Order: sequence, then structure tokens, then C-alpha cells
Amino acid sequence: MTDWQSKTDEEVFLAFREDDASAYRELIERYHDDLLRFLTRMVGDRAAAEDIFQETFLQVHISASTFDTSRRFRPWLFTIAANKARDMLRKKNRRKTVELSAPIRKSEPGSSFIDLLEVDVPAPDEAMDIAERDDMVQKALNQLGPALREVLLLAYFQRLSYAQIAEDLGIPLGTVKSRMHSAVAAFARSWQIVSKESDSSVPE
Amino acid sequence: MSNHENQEGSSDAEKLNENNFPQLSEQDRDAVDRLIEDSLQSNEAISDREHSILGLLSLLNTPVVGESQRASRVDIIRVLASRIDNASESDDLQLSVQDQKALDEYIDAGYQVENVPHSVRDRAIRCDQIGNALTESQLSAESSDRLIDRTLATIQSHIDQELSSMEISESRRGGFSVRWSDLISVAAMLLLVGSIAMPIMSGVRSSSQQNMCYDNMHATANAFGLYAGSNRDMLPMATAGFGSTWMDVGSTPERSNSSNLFTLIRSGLAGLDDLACPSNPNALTGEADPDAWDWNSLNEISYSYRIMPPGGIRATSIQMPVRVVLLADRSPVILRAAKRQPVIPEENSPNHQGDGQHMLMLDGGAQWATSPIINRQDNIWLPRPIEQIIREARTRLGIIKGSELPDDLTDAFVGP
Repeated sequence: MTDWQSKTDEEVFLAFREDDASAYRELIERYHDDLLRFLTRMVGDRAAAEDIFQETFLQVHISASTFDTSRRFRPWLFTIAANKARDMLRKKNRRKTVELSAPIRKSEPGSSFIDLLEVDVPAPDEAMDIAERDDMVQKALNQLGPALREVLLLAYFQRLSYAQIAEDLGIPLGTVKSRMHSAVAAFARSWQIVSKESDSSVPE
Repeated sequence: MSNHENQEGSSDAEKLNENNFPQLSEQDRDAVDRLIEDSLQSNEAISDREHSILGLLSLLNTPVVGESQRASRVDIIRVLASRIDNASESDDLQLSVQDQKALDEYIDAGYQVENVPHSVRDRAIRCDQIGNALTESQLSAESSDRLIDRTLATIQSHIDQELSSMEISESRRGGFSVRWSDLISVAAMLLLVGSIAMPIMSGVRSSSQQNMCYDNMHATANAFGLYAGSNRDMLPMATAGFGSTWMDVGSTPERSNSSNLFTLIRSGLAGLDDLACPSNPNALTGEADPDAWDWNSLNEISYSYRIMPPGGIRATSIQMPVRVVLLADRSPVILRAAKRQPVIPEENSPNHQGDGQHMLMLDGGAQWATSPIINRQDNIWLPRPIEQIIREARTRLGIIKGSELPDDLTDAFVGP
């Protein structure tokens, strides 16, 4: 039996491409947690994320021969997954729900800059139920447009440099930077709103 | 609303892609409805929500009162929601300069807070916390295993479909039933047909799909036991007997044997997932419709259930010296018959790429068999009279000896 632990992702992928069946299971197991979390965050729905997860690995199988083995496997996998997620959202004709009571930032002078030190960003050590925090993070994330959500998630899940993100998304480096800045700001603001709503809904 | 204004509103709406329209929250939509209806009749006090809508509509220069009866409510709502969305999507919202610097440093440092300069480390910690919140969430190990198996099964299914599309399609024959002539012609063919196996990812499929099917068989065995326990030892059934056919899935219980098996789902003793083989891309999974009493079509069925005789079977009434099959991976014979294709009696279930099939026995045991023949001569896909005809046909036809010649030049006949 092959000792996969000592192999890189790219080596495992090569073994899979050469018809080593156990290599594919290894690849799927390696990426299961990360990719499923990424997709759930992207589409906001676990069941849909599982469907895309399967489609992603099916696509990897179908496109295996086109993968340039001098490149890293992980970004390729996540790019496929992000594309699938985008397609799914488009197909579902998913519409964003807006609340009239939500603050319209243009009309609030001085509110166009977020200072992270003034925002209670979700911290892991907070005394909050994990499932509850998950839901709130998702709710906050859902308020972001698809482009901001995608850059934010690709960056954090893959821990990519700006240059790598620019290459993956095929957009200029400057655009990546400003989009990432906007995305973090938008998420922080959104989190602020969601956590305030949550506080106000707790019965005293 | 004047024609001009109406056109303006409509074209504004049309400019936006239908799929990208945001929609107002339900409460806001209700408020728009109330506003349009009520404000035409009275000047009574309006709610804060309605007041906000009036304010926003006035920004659009779209009067609500009076002539708005002619306005398209849909357009008003769409334009309204789009304007709000555009405003809230504005790129105006930015990180403070210090935060931007902290985020850039944090990313340049490979997302390692400790490598970020002290001057902006506090802010980088915030960036890191956001990342943790986004990337950490709970996943259950059990559902993870299932997803991995399902993923592998999906890939295998794709491979199988590719292979089957490469096969030369068989000519169609008439009749929606197992035809004697088909069986006899196939019986002769069987003597020559060997299995052409393309062992692509065979390890993957055998490990994942078979494990899942074993699990399904065990879950279903429990469900059978529970059903029999509360139904005077009877095996699940939905009808007192069949009419002209039992393979018309999704029609009525009197015409569908699968509705008998579906009784386990309807009674809540088994779930759709328990009766879904991962290799069947059409298998129904998830929550069952509470009003459903059968699968919708043959393609959705993963397991074949013993044909129920009129009046059903009492589990304890079968005292046989042989093992009795209650459930098996789906029958290839029925699938071919339904497609009006010649059937191959000894073919294995398609659930496991023709390698074999699981069988759940009346005694609750599940086993894997590489042939559908059990108890020496009993083919689980066929009733005894048909098996007998096949045996006789084979005896009569004999086998290819290797000395036969083509009838004439027009007789296609190829050898090794």
C-alpha cells in the first residue's frame, strides 16, 4: 500500500492520473474539510455545497489530463470549485434580499471607512455557541456581493498572496488589493449589523 | 404616473439583468403592497416602514399616490431594490488606511500575525480573526465519510456512462416485457459473451459503493424487522395484489411492486438514503415527500424487492431449507426489459459495475454475490418458469464448437 502521507498533493494527483485508484480517495480526503467549508461559505447552503463538492472532483477527473503538473494542485482545485459555485448561484437565480431598514452607506456621512479596532470581529475565544457563530458568520457573508465574497474566501482559504489571487482570478493586482480591502471592510460592517441584530433578538 | 415616467421606470428595470435583481424582504414587499392599495383610498397614518418606502420612491421620482394604479408594481419594487442594493454594494466602504496597511502586511507575511510589524499587529490580529471565523466551521465526521463515498461513486458513475456510451447500441425490440424470444436468443449469445472489463478505478468503486450498500442493507433489514414487528409479521406491502403488471413504477400500488418497498419510507422506518445506491445517479435522497407512496420512475430505484404475491408474505410463514432473498441491488433484467432491450439472465446488477450484487435475506443477513444464481439453480432476477425455458433452450442450441462457417458471403461471422 502506498504511503501517501509523505507525498505532496501534486505527487498524489500524478499517481491518480496514472490510474492509481487509491490516490483519488486520498486527494478527496485531504481536501474534504477545507473545500467543503469553502463551498458552504460561498453558496451559503451545506446541501448545495456538497453537490458542488462532488461536481468539482468530477471535473478534476474529467480535466485531469489538462492540468499542468508544474503548477500547484490546490489553487487549481479551488478555482474549479469557485467556478462551479458561481455557476450554481447563477443557475439558482439566487437573488439577494435587501432590507429597507439597512443603512445605505452613501447617505451616511463619515461611515465610508471601517476601523477594525472599533469593530467586534468574530473572535474564536468568544463565549458563543460554535453553531450560532457559524450561522452569524454565514449571514454576514451572505450580505456581500459575489465578487467580494469570492476574493475574501479564496484569499483566506488558500492563504494566497495578492499576486497569486490576481493570477487565479485573472484580474490586475491593484484590483485584487482594493477588492480585498473592500471585502474585509464589508464583512466587518456586515458582521457588526448581524451581531447587533442578534443581541437585540435575545430576550432580556 | 405619466407614460414617460412609466417608461423610465420600466427601462430602468430592464437595464438590470433579470437574474441579478435583488428582491425586497418579505416585510418590505408587503409594505409596498399596502402602500399602493391603502394610499389610494385614505390618508390614514402610515407605518415607519411605509414611510421609508415613500421616501425612497420619491427619490426615484415615482409617485405612488393617484396614478400609480397604472404603474407596474413589479417594476417599482425591482427598481427600488436595485437602488438600495447598488447603494449598499458601493465600493465607498473601505478599510481605514491603517487597516489596509495591516491587511497588506498580514497577507505579505503569509497570513502569519507574528510576522507582521508591531505597529499594525493589533489590526492584523483582527484580520486573522476574520479569517478564522470564515474558515473554521463544524463538519461531522459521519457525513464527511458519506460525502467522500458519494463523490467517488459519482466519478465511477461518470466512467461507467462513458463506457456504456462507447458500446454499440443494441437494436430495440417490441413489447414492454421480458420476451421469450429475447431470452432464447440471448441464451445462445451468452455462451460467447465474455466480460470485457475495463478496470478503471476498480479499487475506488469496490471499496466505497459496496460499503455504502452494505450499510443500506443493514439499515433496511432493521426497517423490515420493525415493520414486521408491528404488522403481524407481514413483510412491507402497499397493496393487496397486482393487476396486469408490477413494474409500472410510480403509477398506482396495484401496478408497482416498488410501492411495497416504499412502504418502509412512508412509514418512517427507512429513509430515502437507506434505499439509494451511490452508483445510481438518479436515486432519490434526502427528505421524502410525506405524500409519496412510490418512487417516480424505475431509474430512481436502487434496490429490487421480492415480488409480493396477493395477500403478501408473513415473514415467519416461510420455512424453507434454502435462503430466501428479500432485497437485492437493482435488477438488470427489469432495467433492460423496461428499455425493450434483450435481457441477459446471468447479468449482474448495474449497481456495482456488473461485479455482483448485494442480497438481503429473509433471516436479516446480507451477502455479496458475484452471480445472481443462488441455491444452485435459482436466478434471483427471474421466476422459475422462465429459468426453465432458458435451460431448455440452451440444451437445444448447444454451444459454438469452433468449426462453424458463415452461411454465405453475406453472413457476417467473425472469429478469434
